[in-house]
Amino acid sequence: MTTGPATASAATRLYRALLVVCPPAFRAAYGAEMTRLFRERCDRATTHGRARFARIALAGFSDLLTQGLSARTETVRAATRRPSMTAQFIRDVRLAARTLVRQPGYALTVVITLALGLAATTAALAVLDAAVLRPLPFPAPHRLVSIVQGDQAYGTPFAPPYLADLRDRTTSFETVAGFSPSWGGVLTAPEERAVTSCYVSDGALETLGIVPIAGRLFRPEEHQSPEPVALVSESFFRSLFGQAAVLDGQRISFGGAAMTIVGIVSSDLRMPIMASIVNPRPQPADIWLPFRLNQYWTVRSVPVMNVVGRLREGVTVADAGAELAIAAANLAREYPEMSGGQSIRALPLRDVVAGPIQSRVALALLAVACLLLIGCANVTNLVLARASARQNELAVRASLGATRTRLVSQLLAESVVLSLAGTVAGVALAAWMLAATPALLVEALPPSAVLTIGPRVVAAAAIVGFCCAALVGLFPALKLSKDAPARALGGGLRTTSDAAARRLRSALVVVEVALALMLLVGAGLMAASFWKLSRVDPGFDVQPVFSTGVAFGGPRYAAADARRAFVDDAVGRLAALPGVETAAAVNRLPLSGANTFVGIEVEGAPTADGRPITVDRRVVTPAYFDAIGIAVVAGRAFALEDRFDSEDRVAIVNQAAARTMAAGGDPLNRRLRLMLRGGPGPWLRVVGVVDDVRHHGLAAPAAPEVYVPYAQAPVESMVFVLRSATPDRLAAPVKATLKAIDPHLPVLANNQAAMSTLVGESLARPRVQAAFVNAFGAVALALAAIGIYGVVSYTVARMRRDIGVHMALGARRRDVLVRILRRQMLLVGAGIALGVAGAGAAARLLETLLFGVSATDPATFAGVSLLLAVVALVAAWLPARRATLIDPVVALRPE
Amino acid sequence: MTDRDLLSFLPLTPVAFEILLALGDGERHGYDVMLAIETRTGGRLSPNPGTLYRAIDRLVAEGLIDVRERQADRGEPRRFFRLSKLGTRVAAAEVERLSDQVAAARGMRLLRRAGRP
Repeated sequence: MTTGPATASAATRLYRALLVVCPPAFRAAYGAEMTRLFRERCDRATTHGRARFARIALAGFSDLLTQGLSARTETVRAATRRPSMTAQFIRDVRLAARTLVRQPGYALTVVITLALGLAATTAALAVLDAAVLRPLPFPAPHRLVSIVQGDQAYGTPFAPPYLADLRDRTTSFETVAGFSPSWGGVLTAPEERAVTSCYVSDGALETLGIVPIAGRLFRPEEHQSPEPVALVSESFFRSLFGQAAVLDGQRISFGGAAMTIVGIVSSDLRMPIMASIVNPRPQPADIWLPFRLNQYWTVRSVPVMNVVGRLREGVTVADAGAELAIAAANLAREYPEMSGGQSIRALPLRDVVAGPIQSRVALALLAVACLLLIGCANVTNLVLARASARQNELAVRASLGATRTRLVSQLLAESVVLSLAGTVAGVALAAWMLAATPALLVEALPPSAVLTIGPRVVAAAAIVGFCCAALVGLFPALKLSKDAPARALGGGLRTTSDAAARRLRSALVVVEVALALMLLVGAGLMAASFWKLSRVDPGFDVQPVFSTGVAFGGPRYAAADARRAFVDDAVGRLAALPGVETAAAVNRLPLSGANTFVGIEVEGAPTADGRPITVDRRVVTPAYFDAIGIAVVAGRAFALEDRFDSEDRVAIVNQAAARTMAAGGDPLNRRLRLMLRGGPGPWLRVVGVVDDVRHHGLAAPAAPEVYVPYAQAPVESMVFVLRSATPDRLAAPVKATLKAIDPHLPVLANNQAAMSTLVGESLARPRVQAAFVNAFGAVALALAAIGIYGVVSYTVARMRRDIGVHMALGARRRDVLVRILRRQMLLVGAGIALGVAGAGAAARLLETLLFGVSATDPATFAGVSLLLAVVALVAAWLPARRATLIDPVVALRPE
Repeated sequence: MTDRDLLSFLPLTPVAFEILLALGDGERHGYDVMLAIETRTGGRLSPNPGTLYRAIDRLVAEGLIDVRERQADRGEPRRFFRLSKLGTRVAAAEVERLSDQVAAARGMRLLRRAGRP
């Protein structure tokens, strides 16, 4: 089996990052060539299989580390004439390395513990670097701003025509450009499939410094001319025209228009803001089009354009903001109906893309810090135990004239070697972890962020590793070196600092329990939240429903009658399929992420601020409520007599809309009208009220909705919804039925899904998050248990003689056991109290991730405290019991 | 420089000596040096990048080889290395030292006793 070039690239990136160990001058002179040579060796090795590749890569890493470190030693030596402290310390490090190699069990335990903690830390640091510190991999990112309107935290986009107004009325910006990602659509040639498109204005790709892989970006005149052109992503191009295809004026048909491909962009290209009002579920685009081709290009009422600006050199965000405020006031005068009272602001683009994720990253850092500290506490205990065993050796050294500094240096050197090994292993593990990260976690990052372990992350990890070395090594080193002379004189006598060591061990237990409790509370809350979320009633039936979408592109369906005829025919034929109970159609499925927001005006009930109420409009056929299982709570459902030529135009509202529009009164027979593209629509009479549905995700409350009959609003894409006992078997017959009516109409095969799949997707991210946090909690619990076990084992081993004396004097085994356990459980209790306080303080960070559970949920706090106490009791009981089983005679023998 | 000064460079490390040998027939860049070493030793010696460039760095610092940055056939400019006058003399001195040792070993019939021709 061979290894792919991706693995070789990953290894090369790691190699490049590890170059930091070399002295800067050496790195500057040869770093690039060394990396190239390493890559060439890897590439050669890949053809010989995985094992050969791994051997070559590992040999390269270890060679780099040895040579780099020894080059550094040399530099240090050259710089100091006498053997300095540093040179001395480096000698100690070598000695320590040799000593540790002879004790592989101890060394491995410590290195693995530290590596696990440091791997998690490195991964979290990589996320911090990619998502929060450098989320915009574009030139001069600090000059990029997002221009938004409205007062919500991150504002709302603009209707496309305002782009020209913003350009005309500002001087703060080098460029102002707009884009709109994540539009669905149908490709009809060279083959039929659903695609995602992104519309860009002139200057949008240029402002972000995007360079095409092949061909070119749009020319300025192509944003005006009627001849349609497109850019496509590399993976999309390859899937359409084959792996080996080159760009050569290929043509595609999209949205009913034939267009020429003029350039190919990276498949990884993400606009910095992915979610848009038309489709909040971010998807990378297959096709990039001039904004002119967007249906809303000239519509002043539909805000679909994200606007970004590049500030002129020397202009601040505040300057631009002041200018935009003036522009907003003028626009409000000119277009009172749309911009009235709306403010326009400039927000640093970095804040817009990284802001929403900051608290999550902080949470992740907090969690990994807890884990790392628990690991450090365990390691400190090991170091302490081992150092105690070496007391005699140290005493001899001290009496031979070693100064205290020398002794500390020697003891610290071991921690340095161990944490260095831990760091290298941790970084390697983190690189692997990131490669294996669930896509859903990556999806939560800012879309343009690039998640890799670069030199900055490696350097930060090295600093953290060094701090670990200081943390786990310093106290034992100081304590033991202080003791050494006394021990040299006093033989096996106990010294005062035994008490200090005991206090340290007690502190370790308290800290470990407190940290583990914090992680467990987080895990418990996430689990409870997920459980609540998975039991939310979405407001419709999930199991027995199957859906499949069609889109009416092209001239044949330009007329509403043609679309109506197709839908009527299809609903009739689908209802007749074996196994189908009811068939209906809707324009936007619940939970699909697609929604149509419009303003409504209720007759005789003007809103306080004169602005229309925003509702979600859904277009449905008569049997829809029946098919998907939405209850009609008042009035009636749509019926066949609600025809396109009826005088009586009708609508149905959900309960949320009924509450908003009728303010407690009866909404039935009141009239409302929708504010559509071309102005207000006809008055509609409310004939029914239906139950609320979770259209926007299970965690989001139901929004006001207005349903209108398809016969009176024949929109351009519909999703057929079938109620059946066997929804999983319907894909093929449904497609065949639709193709039988019109063989050329695109049936969106990738839109076919049982409704349970959509609900499952809505739960997927919370599920991954909960699983992630729970894995952390489980590891923390295990580490804390191991730590407590270790401390108690060590303590009772030291107390052997005391226990022996007690039992020889007639103490009962049970009393001795209780005495040991009581002391440990007091410590555990203190740790739990501390942890509860800490978790209470940190819970604020969790609040936004929780659903239906308070961040200070008493049941969760009590439950995990109890769990931790029980685990701790068992961990302490095992070694304590063993200690009390010994024969007093054996225990009393001199050591 | 006297012969005595030359001796202060000796003995060369195996990798350093191989690098000087590889540069014996002209200018090469790093990758080329590695290939030359691999070819000459039949793959027994294939220095890792760290070892190779560290040795090169030392040889440059000691003035045994010269560096020149030059456009390769394609891609970015690469560093090319070639033997300096001093380097040639040191390499020769090392060869003398080694052949002296080899001659001594032959005289003692070491090889034959070890069962080798």
